[in-house]
Amino acid sequence: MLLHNLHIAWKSMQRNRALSALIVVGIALGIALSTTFAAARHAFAQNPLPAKTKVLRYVRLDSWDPQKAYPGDGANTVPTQVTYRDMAELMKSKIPVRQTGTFKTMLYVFPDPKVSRPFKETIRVCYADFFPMFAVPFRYGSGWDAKADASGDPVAVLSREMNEKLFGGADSVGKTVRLEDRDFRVVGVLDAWTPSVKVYDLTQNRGVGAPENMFISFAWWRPMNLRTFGNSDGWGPSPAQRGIEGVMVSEQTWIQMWVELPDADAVAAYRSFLDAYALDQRRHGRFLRPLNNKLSAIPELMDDFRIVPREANTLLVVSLLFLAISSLNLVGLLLGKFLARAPEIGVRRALGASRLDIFVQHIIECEVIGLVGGLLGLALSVGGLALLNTLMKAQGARPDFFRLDTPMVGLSILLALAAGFVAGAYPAWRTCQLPPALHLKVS
Amino acid sequence: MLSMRAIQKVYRTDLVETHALHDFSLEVKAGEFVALMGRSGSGKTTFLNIAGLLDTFDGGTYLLDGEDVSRLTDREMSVIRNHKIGFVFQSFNLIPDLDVFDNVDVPLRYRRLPAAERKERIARAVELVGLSSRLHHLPSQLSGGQQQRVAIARVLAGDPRLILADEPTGNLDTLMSREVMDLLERINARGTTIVMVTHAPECAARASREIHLLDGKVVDTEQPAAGEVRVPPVSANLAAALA
Amino acid sequence: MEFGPILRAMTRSKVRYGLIVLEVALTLAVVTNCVSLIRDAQTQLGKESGFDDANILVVRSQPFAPAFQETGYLSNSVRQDLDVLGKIPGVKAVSNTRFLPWQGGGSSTETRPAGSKGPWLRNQIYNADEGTFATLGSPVVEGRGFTRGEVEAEDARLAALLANSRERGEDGTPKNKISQDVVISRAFARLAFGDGSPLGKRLEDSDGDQYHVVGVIDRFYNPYGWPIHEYAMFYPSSSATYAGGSAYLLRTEPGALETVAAAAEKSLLAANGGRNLRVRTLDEVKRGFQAPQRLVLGVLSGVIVLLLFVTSLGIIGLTSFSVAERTRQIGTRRALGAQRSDILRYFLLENWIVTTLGLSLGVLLAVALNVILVNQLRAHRMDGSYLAGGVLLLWAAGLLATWLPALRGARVAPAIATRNV
Repeated sequence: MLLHNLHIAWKSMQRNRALSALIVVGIALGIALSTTFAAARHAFAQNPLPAKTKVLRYVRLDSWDPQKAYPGDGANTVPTQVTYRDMAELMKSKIPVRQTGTFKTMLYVFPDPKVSRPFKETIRVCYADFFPMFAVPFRYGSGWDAKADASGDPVAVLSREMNEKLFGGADSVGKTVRLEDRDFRVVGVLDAWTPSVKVYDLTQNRGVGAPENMFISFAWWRPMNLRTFGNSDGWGPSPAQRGIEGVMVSEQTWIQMWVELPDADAVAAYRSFLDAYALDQRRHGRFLRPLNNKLSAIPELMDDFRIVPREANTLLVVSLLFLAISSLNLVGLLLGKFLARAPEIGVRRALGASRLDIFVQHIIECEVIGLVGGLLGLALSVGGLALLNTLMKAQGARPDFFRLDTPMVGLSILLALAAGFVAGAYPAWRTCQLPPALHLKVS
Repeated sequence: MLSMRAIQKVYRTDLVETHALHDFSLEVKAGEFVALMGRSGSGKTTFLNIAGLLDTFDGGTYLLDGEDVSRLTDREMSVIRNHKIGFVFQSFNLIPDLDVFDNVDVPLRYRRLPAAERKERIARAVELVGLSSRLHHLPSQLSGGQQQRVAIARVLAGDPRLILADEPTGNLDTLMSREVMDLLERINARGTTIVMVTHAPECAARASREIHLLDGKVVDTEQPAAGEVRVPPVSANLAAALA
Repeated sequence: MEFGPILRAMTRSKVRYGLIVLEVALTLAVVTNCVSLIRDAQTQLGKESGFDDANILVVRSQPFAPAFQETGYLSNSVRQDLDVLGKIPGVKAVSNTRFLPWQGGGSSTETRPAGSKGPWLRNQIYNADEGTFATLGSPVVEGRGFTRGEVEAEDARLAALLANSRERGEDGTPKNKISQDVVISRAFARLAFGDGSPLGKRLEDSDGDQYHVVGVIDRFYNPYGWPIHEYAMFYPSSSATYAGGSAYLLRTEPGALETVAAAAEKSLLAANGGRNLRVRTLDEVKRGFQAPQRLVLGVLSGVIVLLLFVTSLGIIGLTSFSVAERTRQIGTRRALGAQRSDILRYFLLENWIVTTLGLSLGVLLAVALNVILVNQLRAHRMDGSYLAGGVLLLWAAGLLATWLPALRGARVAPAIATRNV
């Protein structure tokens, strides 16, 4: 029966090609817009690391100026990052099973002169726990261990792309890479790693962009005088000491700090630990603002940092409304199309088709139209997303930042079916109300 | 009242020419009640369309109420239809979305009559056909006979000089047919000219004259003898209304 | 006018007309809010930096040769670079500054009028040299700018001062205060000192260091993460480090951008090869910054056009359907004396009623949608004139879309009435 109905629907679409094309294009435009912007929003909004959402927490402390809050929306905004001195103290806690402070810097890479000129590269500085915490996939070797953080071994992890560039993609574990005036030994090479946003550092550019191409230990911060190339916000008098020594004691916040807490008890314990730390610091004249420490899971953090741009929300709302209007719009066209065929329906009814049969037949026809429009819209949205990707490249996003994944394709088809139903329900209902064989009476 | 001389009407398609009316002539005097009979395809409807200025013709002359109507514009024809002619259709042609009042109102609005006068005319006409209690019913809520009586009220409200009726009882059963024919007879008795197309002999018999059409031509006319006019019994309320 | 009967007849097909009412209402709501969002985006895009954006090049030098780690070598190379760049034909002015307009950020600090106990005022802060204001095309309009001698003297003075840790006083701030001459933007001058001339006045930061206002520029707008887009302070200094490299702004003669860009990269590398260079036009930087707004603008404009098109199609479709369905009725009306213009007017009036009902509902929806956009998406309140404009536009679109099918209705032959089904 379904097959028969599909056949009727297909025949009917071919009968009035101009009208069918108009109807299909109407749905396709709505679906294309909605899919494009749903996918665009999804690229920002989706959880980049769902597997670790339960256990990973981002640490923020209100170490800011007692006179006024950190600039932001509310009165109790906290700095987005932590100071070095706080990170160093917090890292002494044994509550987290893993923890890391991290920041990005830029260093010159001096490759084999036969390979390329020296080039400046963004490098992530982190502790050994970083790799297992963020489920970083390795192609060759692995991350370094805690001992390397303690002793300051010159070890580095390369991204797949960097390994491709420097070593032609071969297993380069054990080879050396020169950063500025030091040689680093490669201990690991990553496999393809494309989190939707850079979950471990959402402080800049909404986390858009590919992960850094090289990773070295936080142990190298002091010896190499590494400066953050991310945000660094501070307040109050500058420290007496110059350079790194000054940063170590200053109120500059510039480090992203993550902890892995295995269960709710650990989360509660760590929360109390943070509060106790802040109260203790208060005795030394710091943390004079109301107690306001944040221990945020990934979704909460993305919300706080407004990772989803307001443009993405706006455009999604507008395109969904557009889809709604274009399906409403089809009601009139379908009504005309269906009622024009009243004689045929009279015959069908006279030959024993029930109201439900007629309704189902026409709803299926609408859904076929919706699906054809949806598929066309889906194809158009691939073009739309490609266009968005070229626009986003200027913002440093990777070329496939916006993409159609399975949930988005599913959503798109669901929307198409919904649009078909909205457009077709009333005409189909009207059609099935036609009395049987009224039109058999020919004068 | 109506004078047609040598009227020609040809329908052309790519393949054939059909002479719907061929050298058609007819005189109808004021106050007459003429029945036009003929088989289907004999040109009855074509005659009615031309007589009612619903369609144009290709040759001959047509004087309506002494006025030559062969060179009128669409607008002038509309005005004449609106003022001088009343139509009674086989399938009533009431407007399904409008109630009795609004349906009778339709031609009056096109005459741009003031609201008070329209209201009075509608009330009188609907009363004449005995449907005062149904003023705000929709056509779908009325029987066929009642619908045709509404259509007749629509004619009466306009007070036309000529009524053209197209198989007025064609879609009605015997009882209802009789009511409608009674009504037409009463209207004619008050001096309104009626030309009625029908193929029901019992209806044609009510007319003062019968004309037979064959292949677009009048074949013979028969004048009933004076005093032979049959006056059938009239339903009580109709009689009261017409009194 | 047959207003009453039309309205009464319409109540017999509530769903059908209701759909168009809803469609018109949603269209008005979406179109007016789109226009409002477009105006927001245009306001953003229309903000002028106040600089000669179209004729400015941004050059970034990133050294890798170890020689650059030596301070003397580094500052010599900056001076050499400025020389080389200044000699390129078509170059009007050159500057070595960390300030890069249109990148959506920069550096900032907090200051307040010296001696006041008032709130700290956040402002953007950048170094400038003798060419900075000429290069930006935002001249010092009050007071003076900086000279080469001043820049070099300041470099030397600050290097000496900051070579060692500064001794702290009781309050934790350095004992010996630094005082620098600065040029500030007009908006910041107003914020800090009100309407009077700021020349000769002083600002201080949280270290107690002093900033002595010697000049004012009128035009400065650089979008920042915090609402300090127009508050700027420039101090005399060159800017170059081994790690951060050095950046130059070049202002060219109109039309010389391309040739200068090519020449700049070549001659800088020829002067010193131990580094990588990146040359961009300021317009490129600006386009990158404005890309999201441009996208919104483009998409919303497209949506408006498509929506008007789609809604008009819907009205055409429904009127066509109405006319086709009522062919017999039209014939009857014509038989009863309706003129063609009466039929045309009937459909136009019917549509006008539907559109107007839709627009009334649409005004409510538009306001509701706007409230949502304002609350959820931080959009701006809609201007009432957009509503008025949208209503007029949709009225016109509705009448136009009805016209063709209604004309077809007016052409229905009156003889249809005698056709029997």
